Amino acid sequence: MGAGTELTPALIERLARLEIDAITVQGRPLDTPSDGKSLPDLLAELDQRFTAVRQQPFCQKVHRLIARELTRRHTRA
Amino acid sequence: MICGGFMTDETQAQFRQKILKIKSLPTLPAVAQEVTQMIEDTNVSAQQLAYTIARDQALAGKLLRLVNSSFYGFPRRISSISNAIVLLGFNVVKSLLISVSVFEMMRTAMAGLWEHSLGCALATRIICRHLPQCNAEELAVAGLLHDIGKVVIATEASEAYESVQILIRQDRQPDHVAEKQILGIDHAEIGGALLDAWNLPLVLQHPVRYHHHPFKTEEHCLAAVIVHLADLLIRGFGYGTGQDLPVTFFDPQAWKLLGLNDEQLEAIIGELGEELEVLEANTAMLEDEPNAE
Repeated sequence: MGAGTELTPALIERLARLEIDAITVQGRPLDTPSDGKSLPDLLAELDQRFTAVRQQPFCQKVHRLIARELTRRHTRA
Repeated sequence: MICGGFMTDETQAQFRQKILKIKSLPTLPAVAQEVTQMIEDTNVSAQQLAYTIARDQALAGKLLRLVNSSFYGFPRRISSISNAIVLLGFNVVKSLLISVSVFEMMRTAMAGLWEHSLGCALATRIICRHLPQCNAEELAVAGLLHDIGKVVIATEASEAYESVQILIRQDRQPDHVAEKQILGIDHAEIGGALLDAWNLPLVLQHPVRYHHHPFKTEEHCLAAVIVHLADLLIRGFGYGTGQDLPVTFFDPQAWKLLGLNDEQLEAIIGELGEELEVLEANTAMLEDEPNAE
């Protein structure tokens, strides 16, 4: 595979058919809101990020809305 | 120099002086500086600008890649610099040039900083959609550059930078508080000085300098408030930096100043969530093209 090739589901399937069980992926891992984590993990991380602003009503409102958004995205995925 | 991770008062004063001296600050590519100045001249033509940008082929290539990425989401492919200028206007092209110029600086200085900054720019633009009086494109650049001071800390004071990171993780100190404690200056002040050295306008300098304390600027308070909120939202989503940048104090007066309601906040967060999904798929938009040879 050439550099920059996208790992699509079709390509992963083809690699499996060729009995290739490991490939090296270059690049730096990036924290993203989804990142293949379970919903309880995502929500626990969200709680942790808001620890310092628990007493601030506006931040709690933002926390609630982001939690709703993460749940929506996760359910849809 | 550094005692137990902290600088002595004398060293802090020296560091501050060194950082605020223009010579020690990173520079924009010559072409980006030239274009920034040319745009101030009302007689400059699109052709002259395109010619100047094209002199730096690498920069021109990255600019076209960013223009055509989902981050900007223009409906048709833009294939030349002159097309970009005609279609998008001088100021958007200037913003794009600054964005691609700081990309390398951010990527090498700190893991996730580019993504966090890009996310903040996106959040800024989305907030501005709900505030028609704001120049979304200009403020998106302020969002993109809001943490540029961290690049200077990471490159000019790498040992102290590590101590700052420890203080953030272990003591859960807000990043700007930890920097102030260790270095005597924070990334926001350094960022403001950097933009000043780059001759960027106050409407960009102030939101960068005051994004943690937006009411310290009267002149560009609304712009600073917008970046203050954008930073909160992107930290809330954990985009780019995950748990490394927790949510810090948000001034409740800032929300009042924006004059938005709860439904609009809900819409902003919904739009940001949707658009971050698209952005995630394009984080490598400015990476060097794979070598075709």
